Formats: sequence, C-alpha cells, structure tokens
Amino acid sequence: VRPAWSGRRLTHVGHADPRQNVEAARQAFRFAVRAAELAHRAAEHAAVVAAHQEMLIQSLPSAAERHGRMAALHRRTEKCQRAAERMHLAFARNLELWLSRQADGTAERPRLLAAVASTSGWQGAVLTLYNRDGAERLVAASDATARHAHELEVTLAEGPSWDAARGGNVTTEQGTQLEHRWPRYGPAVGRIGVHAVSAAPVDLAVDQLRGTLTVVGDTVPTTSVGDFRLGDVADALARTVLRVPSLVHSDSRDLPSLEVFGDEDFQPALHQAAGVLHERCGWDIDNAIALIRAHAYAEDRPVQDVAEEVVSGGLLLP
Amino acid sequence: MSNRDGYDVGTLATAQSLRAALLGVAQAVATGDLDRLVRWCLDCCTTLLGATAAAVVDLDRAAGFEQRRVTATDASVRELIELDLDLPTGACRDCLATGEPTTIPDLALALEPWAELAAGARELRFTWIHADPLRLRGDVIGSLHLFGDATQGPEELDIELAHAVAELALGTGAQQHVLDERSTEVAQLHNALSSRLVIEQAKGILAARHGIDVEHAFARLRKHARDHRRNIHDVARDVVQHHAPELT
Repeated sequence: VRPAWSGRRLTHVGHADPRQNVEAARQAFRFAVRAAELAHRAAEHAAVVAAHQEMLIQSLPSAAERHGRMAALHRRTEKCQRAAERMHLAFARNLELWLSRQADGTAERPRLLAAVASTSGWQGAVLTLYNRDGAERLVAASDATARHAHELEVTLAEGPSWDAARGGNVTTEQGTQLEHRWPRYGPAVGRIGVHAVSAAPVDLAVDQLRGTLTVVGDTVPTTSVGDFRLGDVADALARTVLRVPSLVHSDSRDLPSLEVFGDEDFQPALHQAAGVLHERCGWDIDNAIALIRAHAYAEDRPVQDVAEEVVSGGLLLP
Repeated sequence: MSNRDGYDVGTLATAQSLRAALLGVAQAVATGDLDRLVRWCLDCCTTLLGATAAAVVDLDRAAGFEQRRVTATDASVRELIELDLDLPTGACRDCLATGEPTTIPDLALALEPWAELAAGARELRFTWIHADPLRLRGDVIGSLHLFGDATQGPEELDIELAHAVAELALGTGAQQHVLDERSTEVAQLHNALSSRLVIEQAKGILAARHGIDVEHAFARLRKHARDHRRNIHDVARDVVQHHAPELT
C-alpha cells in the first residue's frame, strides 16, 4: 500500500472533556438503537416475504414441486436472516468497542461495511449504488484499500462488480486468475495488495436503483470461515439497510443523509470538483467526473485528494 | 473524575448501562417478544435517559381506546395514565389524536387538557412530564410518557432517544406489509442520494462562478432556498441545469 493511502483516517471521534465523552456514549447508543432497528426490520421483512412466497407456492398444482420449492424458500430466507443478524450484531459490537475506546481520543466511528466484510469472511467490502444510467449514487467502503480497488475498477472499466452487475451472478476470482480474467484490473489491484475478489449484485427489486457488493482480500475465505455466501450478505444489506427510510432521511438538516454511511461515502469532493470543472471549462458533469478519475489514476493518487485539489483551486484541469 | 485507567467514571457507568441495554434489545428482538421490548424501552428511559418513571401506551386503533395496554415502570404511574385515558378530553387522548409531542416543564403552569395529568403527577412528586406519540409508517400506534423530578426539565437529546427506543419497541408488535412499500422506500432512497449529489455539484459550480469556497457557496444556496421558500434540492438542480439566473 502506498503512503498516500495508508493511515488515512476519515472520521475522528473522542474528546478530552469527559462530558463530551458521555455525549459520545449517547451518540453510540443512538447508533446501536439504529442497528437494533435494522435487525428488527430484517426479521419483519423476512417473515412477510416468506408468507407471501409461501402463499404463491401453495397454489402450485404438483405436491412434489410444492414441497421442493418450500424447502428451497425456507433455506434462502433463513440464510438471509442469519446473515442480517450476524451483520448487525457485528456492527453493534463494533459500536460498543468504539465507545470503550473513546477515552484515548483516536477511535474511528465504525463503518457498516467493515461489519459486512467480517460477516462474509473478507478483509474489505464496498457497496456501490448506481442509477439506470450507471451513474454512481453511493460508494460506501470499509477501508481505504477497498475504496482504492473500487476506484481502479471504475477507471479501468473492468472487474468483478462490472461482471456481477451485467451477469446478475456472484463473481469470484483469486491469484493468477485475476489477471487472466481482467488484464488491466487484475495487475492494478495486485499492486495494492488485493489478490482475491468477489462481487454480488444487490437486488433492490426496482429499476431505478441497482447495486453491487464487492469484497476484497488476500485469498478467498474458506466456507467455514465465511459461513455466509456473499449473495446472502448482499440480500441482507438490501432488505435491512437500503429499504429503511428512517436511515435515509435526516429531517433536522438541509442535507439528507444515510446515517449508517459516512460523509465520504457520498463522495462530496468529487461532485463539488465536477461542478467546478463544469462551470470553469463547460464539461458536462459525467465527463468531468471521468476526467478527475483518469487524472487520479495517472498520478496514482486517491480520487478524493485530486478532487479536493480541484475544489481548492490548486489543480487546474484539464 | 477519572479512574486510574484514565476512563471517565461517568462514561464507564453509561457504557455499562449501554451494554445492558444492547444485550436487552438483542434478546428481545431475537424473540420478537413485545412485552420484553417495552420493558427494555422503559428501562432505557429510566437508566440512561434521565427520566424517573415512564409508561408506554399500546393502542389498537381499530378497536378504540378501550383496547389499549399500558405498561409502566411502577403501578402508580400506570394508574395515573389509565385514569387520564378514561377522560374523554384528557391529555393522553389528546396526544394520540393530535400526534403532537408535548413537554410540560413546570407542572404548576399546566393548562387544559394537561391540567388533570399534571396535578396527578405533582402528587407523585414529579416536576416535569413529557408525552410523545409513537408512529409506525405515519400512523399513531401508541404513546410514550416520561416523568422526571429534575428541576431543569428533560434534555432534548434524551427525549429524542427515548422516542426512537419506544418506536422500535412498539413497531415490533405491529404486522406490516413490507412488500407493498418496497418500491416507495427505494424511491425515497434514490431521491435522497441524487439530491445529495446535485447539491454538491451546485456548490462546486457556485464556488467556481463567484470565486468563493464551497461552504460559502452552500450558504448562498441555502439562503436563496429560504428566501424563496423553496426546497434546497430544487434550487441546486436549477443551478446544475442553468435555470437559476438569480443566483448568478
């Protein structure tokens, strides 16, 4: 990992003043309540989906088919539910750890995607949501390496999430297979220490918004470690996080926010920089974003750094 | 005040209560047991959130006010709420009907319809009361009642948290057809995400246009939206699509 990427801490929390620590504890509690709310929604949703599908299956004429389909349905529902529980429990546990580390003032607020990575047995995870035209709406990452791998994939226009999105299936590769399958992306992620990847589509059951969940690591985890297939975790994310409006809206401020996601997950600097280039050079927004990405790739720097430099006027593109 | 590990004692106490609260909710959610969730909520209100006593009213709207269930931290508070619910013009019914939260920071000054409940609360030696309607997807499904004896009244953050905890607890008990609402929820998500990005782009455009930094650009955007009573997202979209000559 290059110096520009290592040790980047995106959120700092922790205070010298004890009263503020109590405030932080309360805030942690608020997040924990959110996590519990999600777990509750998971159970509720899974039950309703199961009841609905059960009804459909019961109307099938063949008894053998009914039994087979029911068994498959129960297996899938149960796996998604267990993955959701595991994911939210891991998140809540991270919140608790965070709380106990408040005193030293360096703790970083836990990210949901780190819990997603550990639940599926990988080292890093990235959730991407994009609209019908393929424009990114959210890029939530567990850490800087996972985010970097994602940026390489976008810039080089090939990689596991492209394939998962196109094929609708889970895509997994490791070792030398990475370069065979993706001649540009494979070697590029190898240089940042990623030697195994997997991606699954995140099905939101609507046309206007789609997503992919991509995980990265040294090797593909064995099933006993991972336990959950990536598809189960992607299902759990879709059902218990992305469909909870109270996590999407924050009425008290002008900006809406997904409270389980961090500010950087919305890539504010990249969009501000695109606005700057749009105004200054007349580029349309999508082209401006592509230009900033290409520049970051050519200079081997994080997209966010380049974007911040454009916004501050320090970098004049093109 | 710190112990020898350097942890603030207040934080530690809060951390322990928090741990207990987390464990409680994990168990209650896992079993889906409404009684346990409501108990957990009441515990949170009194151990973590500054209330001395609390009560939750669980309402079956279709069946009317008779089909209600009151759970409280102690019998006298439960009785107080029950008595008030029996009054056709009482504060509890008013809270459920209007869907408005109410705080009475000084019980001696309570007006109708709160006078009756406030008088009862004073007899129990409370100094403030708070009533909060609880909703599930817009519908009022019950209410949360907090009682305290601190002279300065309740803290806003505590009230907000108590409300979130109570809605979570009651929401578990209600049967919902999540499937129907799936597309609405995703549409909300989509709008929220797009809105956020368009606002960032507009900030960049205004910053470059006027040679100001993005914070000032945002302030300008917000002021324009307020002055014209418009949604900030709509103003930002106009800027990006060149339909906002007044901001140039």
